[in-house]
Amino acid sequence: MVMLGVLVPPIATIIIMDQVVLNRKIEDSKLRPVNFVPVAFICWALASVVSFYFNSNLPQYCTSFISIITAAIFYAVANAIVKPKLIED
Amino acid sequence: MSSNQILESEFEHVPVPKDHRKSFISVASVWASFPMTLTSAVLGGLVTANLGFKMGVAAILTGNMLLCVVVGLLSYLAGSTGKSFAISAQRTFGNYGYIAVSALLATVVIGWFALMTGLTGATMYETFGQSEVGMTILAGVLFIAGTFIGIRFLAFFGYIAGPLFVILGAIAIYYAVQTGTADIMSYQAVIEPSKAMPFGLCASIVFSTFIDSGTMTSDFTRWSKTGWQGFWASTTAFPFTKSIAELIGAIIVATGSSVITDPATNGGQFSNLLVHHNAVLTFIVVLFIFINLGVACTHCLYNGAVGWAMITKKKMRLLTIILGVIGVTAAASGMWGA
Repeated sequence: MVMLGVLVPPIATIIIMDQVVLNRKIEDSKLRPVNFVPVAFICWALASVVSFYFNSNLPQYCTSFISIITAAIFYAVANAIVKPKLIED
Repeated sequence: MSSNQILESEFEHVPVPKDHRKSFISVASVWASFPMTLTSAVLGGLVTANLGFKMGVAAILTGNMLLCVVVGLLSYLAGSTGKSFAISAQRTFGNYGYIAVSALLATVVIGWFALMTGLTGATMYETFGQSEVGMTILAGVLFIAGTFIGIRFLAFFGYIAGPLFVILGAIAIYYAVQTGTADIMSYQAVIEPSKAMPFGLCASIVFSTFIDSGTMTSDFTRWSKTGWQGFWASTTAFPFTKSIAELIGAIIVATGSSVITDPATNGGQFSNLLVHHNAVLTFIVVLFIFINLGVACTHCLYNGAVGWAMITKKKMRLLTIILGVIGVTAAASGMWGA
């Protein structure tokens, strides 16, 4: 249960950041994703590590909340540096 | 009604077309009923045993408000696009990259399916002395059959399961007060502070119990007509019905009822409060256990089947049978409790 609270919230947060907060062109059918998006996976891993640290050492803080916030920050920063690519059909 | 009318397309591999979207009530029924399970009541009671009633309620509401934000935004996205979780994840994680996240979540929910199918058998054994393995297999077959029908069955099941939970939860609270106290506000934690789970951890656990299916909310809310309908459909569950289910468990523990033994372990498991009163209520409780845990099982199996259908490019109904058999086998063999 605790590992779910560490690993899963960043997945949800990264999708929200990508498709709701940062990029609203979700209906453009001419665009499709590349095969593998490293930025998304790196942010997932980093946010999971941070929330795992809090869960192990500072469980009095809400790990899930920290997991969401860190994933959002990591993805926003990463997106500003490296824009995830979409390919035109 | 022909079989084609009952078994409509599940649009596993493409967004749900606008003309196949469901009414708000139908999608809301799918979500609202999902968290109204005995496991939510157990969790509400566990949190209360650790924190006391007032702080326990605060932790329950905190965890569920967090779910409201995350699941609500994903549901808005799903209602806007009609895309399932796997299709949506494909855009963010890549054409092949999505397989990692989708396979992870679709497998976790099958674990939940196995656990709660096993819990159905265990509850029938503990409450009525029925064969645990036999009841697990019977429950599993019924849950697979329901999921096979698809989203239409989940909505129909929700119309029955949600109200039944509230009614029996209210009756359980009545019996808990009879065997305990009505002064629930002054209930203090039964676990000493040094060993109790802290507030943040309790709120995190409340959140985590539904973050897997919550992240896969798109599998349900892609059937919404608009983004906002998807958002509001998910809010019926988070924070509302999940909080209600957990508060029922919290209240039952806070009454200090003599029937609720060891709340630090068993939480707000209230089925024992409802039996041994009269034959009619006992019969209803049998139905309740199957329907209540069945709601969670069918939703989890649906999530898993839709996710794996996208990955394997097979039909959701075929994956329902395959994954269902795997889950029931694990449950009947006792692996669910491992």
